[in-house]
Amino acid sequence: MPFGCVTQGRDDPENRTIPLTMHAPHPPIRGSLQEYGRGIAGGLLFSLPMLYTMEMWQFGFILRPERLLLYAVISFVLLLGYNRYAGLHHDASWAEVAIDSVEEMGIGIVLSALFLAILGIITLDIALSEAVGKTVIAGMTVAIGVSVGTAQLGAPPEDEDEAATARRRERPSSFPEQLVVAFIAAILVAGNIAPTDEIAILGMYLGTLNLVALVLLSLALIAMILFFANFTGAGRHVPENLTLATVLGRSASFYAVALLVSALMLWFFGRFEGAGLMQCLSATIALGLVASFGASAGRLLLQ
Amino acid sequence: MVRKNALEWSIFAVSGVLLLLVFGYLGYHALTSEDEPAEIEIEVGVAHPQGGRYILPVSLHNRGGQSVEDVEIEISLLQGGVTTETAAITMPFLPRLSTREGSVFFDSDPAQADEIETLVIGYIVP
Repeated sequence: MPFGCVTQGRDDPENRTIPLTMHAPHPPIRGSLQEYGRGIAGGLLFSLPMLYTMEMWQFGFILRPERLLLYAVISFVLLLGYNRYAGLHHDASWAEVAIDSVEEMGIGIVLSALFLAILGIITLDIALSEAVGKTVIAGMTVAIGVSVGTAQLGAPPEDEDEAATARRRERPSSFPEQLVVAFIAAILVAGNIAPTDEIAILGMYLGTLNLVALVLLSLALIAMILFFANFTGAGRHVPENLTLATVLGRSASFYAVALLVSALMLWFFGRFEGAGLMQCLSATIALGLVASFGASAGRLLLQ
Repeated sequence: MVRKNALEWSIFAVSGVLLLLVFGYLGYHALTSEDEPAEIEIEVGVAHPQGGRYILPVSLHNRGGQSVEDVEIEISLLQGGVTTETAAITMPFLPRLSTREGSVFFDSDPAQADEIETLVIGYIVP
């Protein structure tokens, strides 16, 4: 993770060479340590609820190895996406993005194993497959949290003046980019709740009225956060001439992302196996409210 | 251009190796382990007296490829072919290729019994 080479935005190519020539080729060790510290803090901030959730430990040995492998691969792709579109260095090459992602995943796995061992969930008595399963299932969230923490929890680099910071913060993002970050943010926020039995239980007894209310509430919350509440960073993503159609269309798009993330996570944790259509839909909508917060508020904080 | 110091390169190297190991292990397991049902084996330890009764440690082994929930087992003491005492426990989880420990209590000394019979009553597939 190179330190101190944040440039003035990707559409400003002349300025890009200046920070690179002004600094020594290697970033200082102290700076790297600070970045790792922020990464660890971010990783734990997002994943401690999961590390302390019983269902997560159980999925570590209930899920088949191929499903765990799929989980790890999807997480890695999400990490690449996040580091590319919302990470600290908007000018980063794919090589840098890949290297950062590998590092973050490594840190995530180590932190996950360490915490589960300290909590006594992983011991020397259990089978290796169980230990690896438990570590991987929690480690992926830690890894995404590490990435978010590194990028978002830091103060702007010392060599960056205020105007540059402001420009970086104000950098507009394209709609597809927003959807990618919304997807990741929804996973981070809803990931703590998706594996719990509570969602399956809600799916069992939510009535039609409850479901309609949940859908409307989710949409209203998204619209409020994105367009009305003047949320941190919301302004730069809103088009100049805002129409009601834009508000409704974009809110619906982000809600669609939230529902997609919810359904994917529930499928992944085996909640759809043997379940009827109504049970699947109800559980998805119940989790969808949580994912909506991720896709709206979480996304703005991550980007 | 990738600019990194020695610390960052070493963390990257360690992470890379760790990822290869984890992905490799999961991939290997996915290819080699078939989705065979749980295969539960009960192993009985040595009983010792406790509070006027006898405590008998039991180990549950799952040698199959499937993790199971709520495994109910029954241990009986037999005297001359007749069951004299029965005890049961339920194990909340028994992961694939794993062992879980528990104990059952008896009024009479299991060491004096002719035979100790172990029985798996059933389990739930999660």
